[in-house]
Amino acid sequence: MTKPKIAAQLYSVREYCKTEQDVYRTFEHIKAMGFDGVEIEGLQSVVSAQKAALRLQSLNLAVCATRGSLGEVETCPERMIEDALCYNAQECGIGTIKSMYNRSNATIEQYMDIIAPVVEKISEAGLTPSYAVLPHDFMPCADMVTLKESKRPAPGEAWKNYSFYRLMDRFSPGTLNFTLDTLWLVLAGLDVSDSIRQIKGRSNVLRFRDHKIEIGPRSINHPNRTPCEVGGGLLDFASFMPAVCEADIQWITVGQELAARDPFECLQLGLNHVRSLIG
Amino acid sequence: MHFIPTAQIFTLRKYTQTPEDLAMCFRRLAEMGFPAVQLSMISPKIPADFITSLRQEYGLDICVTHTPLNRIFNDLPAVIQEHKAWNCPLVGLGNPPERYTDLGYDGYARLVEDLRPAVAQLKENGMKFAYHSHCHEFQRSPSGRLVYDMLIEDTDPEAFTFIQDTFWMRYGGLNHLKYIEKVKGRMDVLHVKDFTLATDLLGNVVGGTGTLGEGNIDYAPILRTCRQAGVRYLAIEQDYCSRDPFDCMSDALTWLNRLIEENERETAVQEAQL
Repeated sequence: MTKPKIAAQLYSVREYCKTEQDVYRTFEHIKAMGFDGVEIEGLQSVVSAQKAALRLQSLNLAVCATRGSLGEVETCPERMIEDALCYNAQECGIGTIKSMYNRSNATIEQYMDIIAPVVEKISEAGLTPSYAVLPHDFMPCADMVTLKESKRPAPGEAWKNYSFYRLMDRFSPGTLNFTLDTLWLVLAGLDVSDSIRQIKGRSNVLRFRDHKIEIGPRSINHPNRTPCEVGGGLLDFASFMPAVCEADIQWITVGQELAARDPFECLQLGLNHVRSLIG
Repeated sequence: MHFIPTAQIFTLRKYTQTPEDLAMCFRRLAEMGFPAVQLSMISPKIPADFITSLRQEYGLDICVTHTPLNRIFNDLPAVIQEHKAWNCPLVGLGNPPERYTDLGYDGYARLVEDLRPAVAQLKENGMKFAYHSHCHEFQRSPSGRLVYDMLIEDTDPEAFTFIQDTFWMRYGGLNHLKYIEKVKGRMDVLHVKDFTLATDLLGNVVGGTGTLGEGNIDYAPILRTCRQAGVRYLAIEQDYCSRDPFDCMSDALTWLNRLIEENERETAVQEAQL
C-alpha cells in the first residue's frame, strides 16, 4: 500500500490568503514546511486558479482537492470544474448539505437532485467528484429539529435516515467520493476508525483535525472543546492509521479550525505528527 | 449472562425526591425487568433504611451509588453502614465540586490527595470507591499529562475504581476502547447512553445524550472490550429525556438486552472456536 501524502488545509491559514501575494507567500511557507500538497478552499475571489496553479506547480505542490460551495454548484459548476482542472486536483469537491437542507427527506432528495448532474459533469471532465462530510450528515432528518423536539427514529435504525448513507446509496462507488473529517466525526459521536473503514474504495482524501478540553464554563454539560493542532489534543491519530491503510487513503490533509498560536506553527506541528505516524 | 443491565436512577431524578415516588421508581424498574439500579440524586430526606426495604421488596441490586463528596469526607462511617445494608460495595462520586474542577489539573490532583483517607477506609471495610468521569478529566497539566491518566496512575488500583460514560468519552474524542483497557479490573460499572445530534435554533449541530439505540454509538466493540476488562454492570442513563423518562428507560433496556444477547452469542462462537 502506498503511504498517504500530506496536504495543508488552506482554510487553516485563511487569514494569510487575503491577497494574491499573501497566497503566494503562504504556498511558499507550506512548501518550506515539507507538505506534499494543499487542499484548496475559498481562493477564487483572491487569485485566479490559473495563476495559483502555476505557482503551485513551480513549487511542486500538488492539489489533493478543491472545495466548492453549494452556491457554485448551483450557479457556476463549469467554472468550478475548470478551476479544478487548472489545479490538476485529484478531487473536485462539491458543496455540502447545510443544515437547511437536512430538514426533511424531501430536502435531502432535492439536494441530491441538484448535485447529480454536476457530479456527472465533474466525472466527464476526468475529475473525481467528492463530498466533504459534515456532522449534519449523521443526524436523522426532521423538519425544524430542535433539542427539545427531536423525532425518534426506530431503535438501531437511526442511521438509515442520515444524509451520509442516503448519499452513499444514491451515488454508487466510483461516482462520488467522500472526505471525512476526524473532528466532525467526533462531533457526531462516531468512531473515527469505523467511519474511515466504511468509505473504503470511496475516498482518496481524509482530513485530520484535533481538539482538546480546556477549563470552560462551570456547567458540567458544556466543557470547552478547543480546536488545536493535529497531535496536540485528544484524538488518537495513531489508532486511526490501520483504518487509513485499509481504506487506501491517498491524502491526509492537516489543519485546524482555529489556532490559539500561529496557524503556520500549528500546521508544522500537525505535519510533524502525521509524518511520525506514516513513517 | 455476563453483563447486568442496570438503571441509573439519575435519569428519573424528578421521581426520587419523595419516598412514594422512589417506591414507584423501584416498582416500575423491577416491572421493566431491570435486575439492578444505581442510586443517584435521591433526596437526602429519604431514610437509608427505606431504600433498604425497597431493595428487598423489589429484588433490585444496588451496584453503586453517587454519594455527595461532603458525606464521603464528613460522614463516611454512616455511608459505609448504609452501603453494607444495601449490599452495595461501591461508593461512587458523580461529579467533583467546583472548588476542585475550577482549578484544572491541580484541582484534580488535590482531589486525589483529599480522597486518599476515605478510599483507604473503604478498602479496610471491603469496599471500593468509584469515580465517575465526564470530560473535564481530559484536561492536561502544563507538562501534558491528562487528568484521567493521573487518576488511573496515582491512585490505589485495589480501591479506586472508575465509572466511565460512553457519551462523555465520545464527546472528548478519546480512544474509548484504549481507556477501557487502561482500567481493566478497575471498572465494574459503565454508564451507557447514546449520542444523538440535533440542530439548535441557530442551525448549529449539537450533540446530546439520547436513548440507547437511537444515536451514533456502536456498542458491539465497547461490550467486547468491557467484557475482557471485567465490567459487569451496564447502567442505562439519559441526562435529558425529551419524552417520558420511564419510556426512555424501557426502550433503552430493550435495546441493551439485544446488545447483550449479541455479545453472548459472539462470545460463545469465539469460545467454541478456541
